Amino acid sequence: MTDKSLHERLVLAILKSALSPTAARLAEAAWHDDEILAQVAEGASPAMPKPKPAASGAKGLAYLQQISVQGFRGIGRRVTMALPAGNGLTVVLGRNGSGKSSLAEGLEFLVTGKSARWAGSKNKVWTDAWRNLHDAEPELAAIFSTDPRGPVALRRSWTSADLNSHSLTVTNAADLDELGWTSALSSNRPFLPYAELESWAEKSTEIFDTINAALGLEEFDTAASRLDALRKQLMAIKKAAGDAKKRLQASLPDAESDPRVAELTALLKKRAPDLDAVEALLNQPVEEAGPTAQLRKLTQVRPPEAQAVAGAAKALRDAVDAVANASDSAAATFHDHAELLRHAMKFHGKHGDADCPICGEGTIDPEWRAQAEARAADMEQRAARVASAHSALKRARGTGEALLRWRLDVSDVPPQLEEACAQLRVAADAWTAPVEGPVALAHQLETAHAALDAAAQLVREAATAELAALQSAWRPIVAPLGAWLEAARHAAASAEALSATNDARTFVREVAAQLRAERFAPIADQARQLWTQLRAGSSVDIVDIAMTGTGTQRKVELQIQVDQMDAPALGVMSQGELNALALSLFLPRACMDQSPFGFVVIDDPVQSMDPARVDGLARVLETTAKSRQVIVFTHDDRLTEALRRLQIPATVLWVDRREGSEIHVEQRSDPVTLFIQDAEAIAYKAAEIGDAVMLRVVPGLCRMALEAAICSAYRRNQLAAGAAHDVVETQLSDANKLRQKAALLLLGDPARDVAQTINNRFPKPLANAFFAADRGAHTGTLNAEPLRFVRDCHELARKLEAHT
Amino acid sequence: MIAAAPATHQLLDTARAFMKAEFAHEATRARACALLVRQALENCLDIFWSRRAPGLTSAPMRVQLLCLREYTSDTAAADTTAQTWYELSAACHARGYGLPPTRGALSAWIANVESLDALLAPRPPTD
Repeated sequence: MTDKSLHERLVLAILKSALSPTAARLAEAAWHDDEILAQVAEGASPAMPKPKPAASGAKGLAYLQQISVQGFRGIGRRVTMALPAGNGLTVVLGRNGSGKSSLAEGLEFLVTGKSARWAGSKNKVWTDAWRNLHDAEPELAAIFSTDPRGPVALRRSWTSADLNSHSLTVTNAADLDELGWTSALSSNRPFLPYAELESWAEKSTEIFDTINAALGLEEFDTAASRLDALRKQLMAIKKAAGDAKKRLQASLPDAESDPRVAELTALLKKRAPDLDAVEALLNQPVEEAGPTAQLRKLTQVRPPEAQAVAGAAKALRDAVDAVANASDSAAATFHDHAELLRHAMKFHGKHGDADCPICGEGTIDPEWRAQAEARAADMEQRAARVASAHSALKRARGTGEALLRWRLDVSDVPPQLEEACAQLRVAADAWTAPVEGPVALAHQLETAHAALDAAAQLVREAATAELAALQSAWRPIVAPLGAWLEAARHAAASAEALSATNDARTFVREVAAQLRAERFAPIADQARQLWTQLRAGSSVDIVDIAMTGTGTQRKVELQIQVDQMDAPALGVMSQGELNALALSLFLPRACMDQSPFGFVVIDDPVQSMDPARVDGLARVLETTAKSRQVIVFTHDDRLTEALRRLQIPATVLWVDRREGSEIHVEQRSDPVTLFIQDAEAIAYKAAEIGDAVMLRVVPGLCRMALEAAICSAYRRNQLAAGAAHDVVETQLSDANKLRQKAALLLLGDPARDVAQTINNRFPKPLANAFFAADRGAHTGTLNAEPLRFVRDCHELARKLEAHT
Repeated sequence: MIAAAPATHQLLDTARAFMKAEFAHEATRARACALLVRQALENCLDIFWSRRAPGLTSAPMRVQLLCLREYTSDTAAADTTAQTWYELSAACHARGYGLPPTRGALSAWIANVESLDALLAPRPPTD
């Protein structure tokens, strides 16, 4: 059931509040259901359902018509107790063990399916010995009159000896729900067993809960507990992230080992680590990582190959030798000599045979020409060889110089490699030092390479080792880092929801507390009024009753004054006062307008109350009975006496146990009438039981009728005159005999002789009846006709009862 | 109207019969039984005193009950008798808020008076 007005109160409060939009949505969603709340918590914006209109309170009240109990607790054969219908007071009177409590508990168990008296008890006596072992199958049944539905019958039966194997049959209604009883049973429970009266002071939290249930704010409580659950869930996410972070930090190696670790450590130090940066770090491809790339490059550091260097050096030296073999001047001579011969041959060709134009001694002729031809070709060949040696040297120099130009071009050398690289640089510097001439060049190639090669190898090895170390340092972090990252992202995503949930939770609790105080105020007022009626001379005054605290701290707090001084709560109150107080709180709750129950069942409220308080109780019951069917179970006559004396209308039912757990219920009149009826019944039986026996009983019963009349009159007169209850009771119980009682009433002193007064004040037959009753109770004699005597005693009793 | 005084056992038999009989009011049964049992007890003592100490028959019950302790060797039985009488007496007077005696109480009283009757009955001569 969603109470529309409560929902409106919540929405209104949300509108007036300073809640964030998320918190506001959470507060409203929590009101509706778990699913919507979960959606809102995840950031969705589901449509809020429209609250159903509140159930109409126009239903009539249910009144108890009759209850029957069989085979249950102290009751064997079926006992049926019919109750006067409608509002009014019914007192069910019975001694301890008479079966009256079994009726009360049977009724409670029938309707609620449990018993408050046994509920908290671990004692197996209750759960094992609930069945009455006298033949009858256990069964509880009751008929309630309801308007406009008509009579509704409830029947609870058992399938086995297990107390919990019971089931309920409802006629004229589908179930208790349809009657609107299920929730009302907790909110407006119409049963107040003595066990509850007795022990409630120690159960302040339970009292809070029962009263709270009556206030109809369970939807607020449900909303609050939904938010509690959500908060717990979100806190768990936050905690999971925290735990994952701890695990990650535990697995972090020394920050020195890897710059990524250093970076991660720095990121983690922040209160809200930059998760994107962490993720980038995690997802960074290994090759791209700065130091890793450098290291990888350094593993590839390769100076010119030894073979190539050696080859270049040899080529250089060969070329140098070749050039040295063919000198520059020789080369020019060869060339010029061949050219000169070519010119001479050209001359011979133009001018024919002739003397040598240069030396003039020889002849240029064909023979010469052939020789010259050969010599010129030879000379040209020689010249070509010299030129080729020069160009070979040039090439070899180029190759050698190119080799020497190798450098270590690695920047941002990781610190771990600094030293190896420095050595490599020194070697490289030696390698690239400038040189003059091909021979020096060849020399440098031959001598500087070994150092360079060795230094480069060291760098490569160091880089390879470092790279391996780097990977082995990072790898174990990857898994916990990934786990934490996921948890942290989750937590970050729900962080807002968590803070909004906290706000919404506090808010809903505050609104609920405010509404609770509002709704509890009239109950507290009524309770204080009832207490005023019930306190009867108690020095304890209730200044205020309030429902305070939340969670495990919740309780009903009583501000109490004793003789106008503030007192520490319940410790100062007697058991009777506590009972009265519990009743003060119970009755307003059971009689709230919303309750479908027209009846209220109170078990033994009189226990541990002193007589004065019983008068207050009678008044309270009278007031309550104006609007409810009040059924009071009690074990002695004090309440009925007070009701008679205060002339409060009530039906008294007397419960009595006979043989075989057989319980009888009968309506009871005032004691005088009862005794007179008893005496008449015996007198009528004279023929059956014999005069001798009859005469031994009738005077005794009549004497009791007279005594009851005297007690009733004396009590009423004295109390009306302001005498204290206990004084009156002591006087009555001290005046044990009829004459003493009569003297007490008529003369104010039980020790005085009352005979004369009796004779003077009453007609002769009545005075005679007085003395006959007194004497006959012992002797079994009667000098009158028995029925006549009983009627005289009745008349006398009425006169005595009316004495003022 | 005077009828012959019934014997103790008659009174007790009637009380027992009352326990099982139908009564319109349960209270009637209880009160009537109590009255009968008390008279049975008093009857019992009356007969005993008339044999042993005739002067005590007219003494107040309190005195009779105190003397019983002296006249019988069974002091426990005397105490039980006193206790039973006081309880019966309470049941036979309308008091403050008294309810009629319970069945259990009635049965116990009947049994107690029966034992008393047996204890105080004249013994057959032993010679």
